[in-house]
Amino acid sequence: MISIDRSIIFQIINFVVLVMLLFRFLFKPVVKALDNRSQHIQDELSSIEKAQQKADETKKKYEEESKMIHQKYQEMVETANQEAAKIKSGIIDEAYREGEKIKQTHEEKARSEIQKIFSSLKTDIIDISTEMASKILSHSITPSIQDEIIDKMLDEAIIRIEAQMEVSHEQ
Amino acid sequence: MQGEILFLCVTVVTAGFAIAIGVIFPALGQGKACAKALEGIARQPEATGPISRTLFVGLALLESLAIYVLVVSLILLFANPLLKYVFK
Amino acid sequence: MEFLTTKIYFYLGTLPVTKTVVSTWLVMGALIIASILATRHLKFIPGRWQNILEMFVEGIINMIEDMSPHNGKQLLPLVGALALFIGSANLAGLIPGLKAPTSDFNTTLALALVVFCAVPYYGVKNQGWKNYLKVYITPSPIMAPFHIISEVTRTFSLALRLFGNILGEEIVIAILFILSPLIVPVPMMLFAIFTGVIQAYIFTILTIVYLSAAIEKEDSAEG
Repeated sequence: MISIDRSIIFQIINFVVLVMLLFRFLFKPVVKALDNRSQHIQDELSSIEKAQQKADETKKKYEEESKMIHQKYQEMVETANQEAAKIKSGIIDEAYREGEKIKQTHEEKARSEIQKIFSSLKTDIIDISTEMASKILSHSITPSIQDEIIDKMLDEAIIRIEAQMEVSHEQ
Repeated sequence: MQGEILFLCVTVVTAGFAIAIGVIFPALGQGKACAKALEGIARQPEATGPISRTLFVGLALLESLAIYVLVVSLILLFANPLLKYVFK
Repeated sequence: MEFLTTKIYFYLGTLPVTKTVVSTWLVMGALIIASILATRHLKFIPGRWQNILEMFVEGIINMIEDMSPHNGKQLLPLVGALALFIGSANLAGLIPGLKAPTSDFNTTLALALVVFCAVPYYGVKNQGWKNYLKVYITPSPIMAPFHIISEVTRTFSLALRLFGNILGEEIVIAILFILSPLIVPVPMMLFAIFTGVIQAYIFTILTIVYLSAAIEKEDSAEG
């Protein structure tokens, strides 16, 4: 067994046969099974990728749609706001104008009333003062002095009444 | 007969010395290789796999030297081809 | 020293059928029956045994592809058969009554010769005659004899390494057995399991190195 004899031929044939048989019965089926599995896994992975892509596309589509809807909504809100602002300013303007009108009419009324009061007061004061003056002065003053005094008093009364009128106007 | 006995004695002694001497140097070499591999693993533990794989191959190559000596001494002892000339 | 002579059972023509040959047949038969049983019901989702089988096959493919990428499937039949046969042959020596076929120089030399013939076969198959033969005359035609010598010597070293290791292990176990047959040889036998597996691994990986060196356009490795 240390020396080489002819059984080496047997051993070579044995080993070659063993290689063939093992290939036929062991390595071919196992490699085939492994390949099948890796192929299957590959297919599965690619189909998953495809589905992923599809889902992405759908998602994008929906996102775009929602974006569009949002834009439309925004536009609608804006136009409504503008309209509302217009209406608001119109109402305010009208109210302001009306207020102005009311104010004017009231002022005019007040002024005419004041005028009326003033004129009636004037006549009253003239009457009263004339009466008073004639009563006081009928027995001590000449007609010329009397006229002078009356004029003076009238002037004073007018000035006072005007001032009073100014005050009331301001009020 | 004296010559034949002398031949056998020399054969046995040679086989013994061949093993004794022939094993020393591969052993030293293997020790060195192992030490270096251990150093490498200690320095870089993540490279354990490649280092030990290479170490095994290298040790086998070194060990084959000692194995040659073993085979030669076995041939000398048990399958000496010269015996048939000595013992006619 | 009965373990150093091989018993010849009978002659087939002029070829001797030795105990080694019979052990080889037994190991071969066991391997083939086991592989037929193992691959009979290959399922898509592997069970425990199929997992082990696939791990073994994939391990060998990875071992090959570490050395020469993309050639795993091509070299698998030879390399896998070598690994399986040498491993189980080494371990067969531990079974009483059987003899490790690899402790016979004829077996290991036969394996090494198959590798020796497979190297040019795969080299020519993968890169053609011209490119394969070009390796021998690089860097200069003077190197051609050295290339051939290196191929021959590495074949013998491959054979001798396996043979010497397994035979040495057997001799040590036998001597221990002669000294004390009861428990003393058991640690050595456990060590023999380790050695057998390691030697199968080494033989396989060196074969891969030689084959991948022949397949790729590089200088062949020394061994």
